[in-house]
Amino acid sequence: MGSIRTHLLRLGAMATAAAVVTVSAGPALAAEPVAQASATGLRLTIASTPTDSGTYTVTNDGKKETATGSNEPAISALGGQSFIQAGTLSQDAGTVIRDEKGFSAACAGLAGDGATLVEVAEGGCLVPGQNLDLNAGTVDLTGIQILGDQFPQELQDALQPVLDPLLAGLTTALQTVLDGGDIALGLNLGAVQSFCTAQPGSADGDTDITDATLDATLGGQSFNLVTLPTNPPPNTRVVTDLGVVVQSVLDALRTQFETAIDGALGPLTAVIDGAEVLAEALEQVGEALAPLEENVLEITLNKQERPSSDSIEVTALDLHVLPAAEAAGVELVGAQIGETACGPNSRVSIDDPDPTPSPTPTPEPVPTSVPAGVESVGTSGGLGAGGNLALLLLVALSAGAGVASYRRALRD
Amino acid sequence: MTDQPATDAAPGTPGAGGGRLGSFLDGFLGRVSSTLAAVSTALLVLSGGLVVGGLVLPSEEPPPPSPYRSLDPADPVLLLVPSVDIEAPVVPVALTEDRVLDPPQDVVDVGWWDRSAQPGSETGSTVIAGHSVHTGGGALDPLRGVRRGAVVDVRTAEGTMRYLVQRKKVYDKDELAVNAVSIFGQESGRGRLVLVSCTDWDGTGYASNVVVYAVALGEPRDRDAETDVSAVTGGAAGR
Repeated sequence: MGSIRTHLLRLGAMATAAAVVTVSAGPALAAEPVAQASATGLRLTIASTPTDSGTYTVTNDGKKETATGSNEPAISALGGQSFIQAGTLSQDAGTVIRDEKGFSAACAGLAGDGATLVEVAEGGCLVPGQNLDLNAGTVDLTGIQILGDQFPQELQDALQPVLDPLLAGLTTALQTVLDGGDIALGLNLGAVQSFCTAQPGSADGDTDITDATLDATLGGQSFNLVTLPTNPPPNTRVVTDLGVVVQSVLDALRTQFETAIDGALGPLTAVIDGAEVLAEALEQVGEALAPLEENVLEITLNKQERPSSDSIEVTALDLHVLPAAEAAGVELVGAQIGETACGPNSRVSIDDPDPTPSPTPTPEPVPTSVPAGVESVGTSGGLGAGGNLALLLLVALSAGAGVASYRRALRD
Repeated sequence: MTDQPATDAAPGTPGAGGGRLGSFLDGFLGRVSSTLAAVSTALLVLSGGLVVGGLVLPSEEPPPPSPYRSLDPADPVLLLVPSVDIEAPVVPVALTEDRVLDPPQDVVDVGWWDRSAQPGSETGSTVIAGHSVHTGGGALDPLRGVRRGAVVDVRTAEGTMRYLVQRKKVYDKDELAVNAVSIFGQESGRGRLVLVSCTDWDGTGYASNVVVYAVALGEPRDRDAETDVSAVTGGAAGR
């Protein structure tokens, strides 16, 4: 029985030792950070040339947090682009170790001037101020022409005497319509921001959009293409075209054409079908603008990707001007507003032999220096507490003996 | 078959009339009652047997108790590291205003930082610092030689707290200052032991600190275990 007990004790002890060794080896094997997050306020790709606000990244190895990049992005640093000229850009991230678990959070976004920056841990980093206008792209209409040889031959023959003046009039009408310049695609927003959090085993994220619309402007007239939802579900796709703008161009041209044709044709109206001329001209312009009626803009709101089950990447607004618009002369733009990434996070090893830092400064002062070495005992030596006590006792005994001898001598 | 219940029934009762239905019911109920009584008796006997069996028959052997028990926190008075022959009295030492922890002037003593955890505490770290002496004689001269798995005992007025060395780390002076909170901070540690001394003699002085981290095991239940290092470490104790 005693032998069994001894074996059990040894087995238990061996298991304990093995567990201790295993736990102590854990941190050395775990090279991954305990908590991590990153944030990028704005990323642009214009004419295949990328630029961004930089990425602010924080990692925590369980002992301390390390940050790279800037959490004070400046719009002025985004050179060589016309997408954004003003506003408030934000990107921030943080980590904390609590109950030996790594937590991380990140927030990134864009807002108008006057927006307020708040702490990342509060669930967002921007409180909207004024609205902000972003230039998402420009449709170049200068290439659109009305060509005489595109008219039917019989029409050309009939118009021959007045073709040149007529074409001149039509071109003038077209220029009048397009006098306002190119079609400008604009994003008007109060704030667009994404936010993510992660802890061991899970990660979550969301997007908050305040008062955002996509507009097209032509000749001072603004067309609302789409109003973006405030709290879009993950991976909400918004595909839009410029059909409303194209129709507006054609309507304006129709009015101008009717006036021009009436003036140019004059006495020929008896032999020329004005409506046919108008239809032909509109068809030409319509063909030129046709690409704009296809999908030219693709926007994904609250874009979420999960590289793993315990990490997440969130982009508040991902905008691409589709290649289909290239034929219409749209300056290619790709924009990602508010990119955040959180996780994967893990736990700090329970028995981490390396000291675990406290997320908050310890109130009690701790030693920062331990001068525990001397060259020789002589410089700082002694008998120790026990030695000193023994010495004290010896002195006391000696004194007692002396007193006794003295009293004995007095009695003698 | 004799209709016994009718015979035994008192006059005026339903059975007294000797009706066939009444006789049948009386007979049926009587048989049910007898059966229930037999079943109850059998169950009683079975229960009794199980109880007796549970008390008498051997059951599965319970797991062995932990070889350690908790110890009430108290100030340390003696430090023992058998694997490297360290045995030093412990005296409390305070932190200076400039956050320097000076070990006791007597180099054979070691100092317990009086704001650190007492041995037996379940939180914080027990910090003990002692001198290394280049020419020998310092209480913690052998600390550099302590190996993982070594046993450390700290005696208090309440008993002996046993620790198991997990890691030894050398910090230069700057590293020690940078990592001061994590080494000496009392916000973490789970009652671990932190032993500190000096190392890396450069000809004129010590350039670094050696820090030994040990986890708390508890007070040994078996006094024999206090001297049987292998029983604790499974033979892993360093010598």
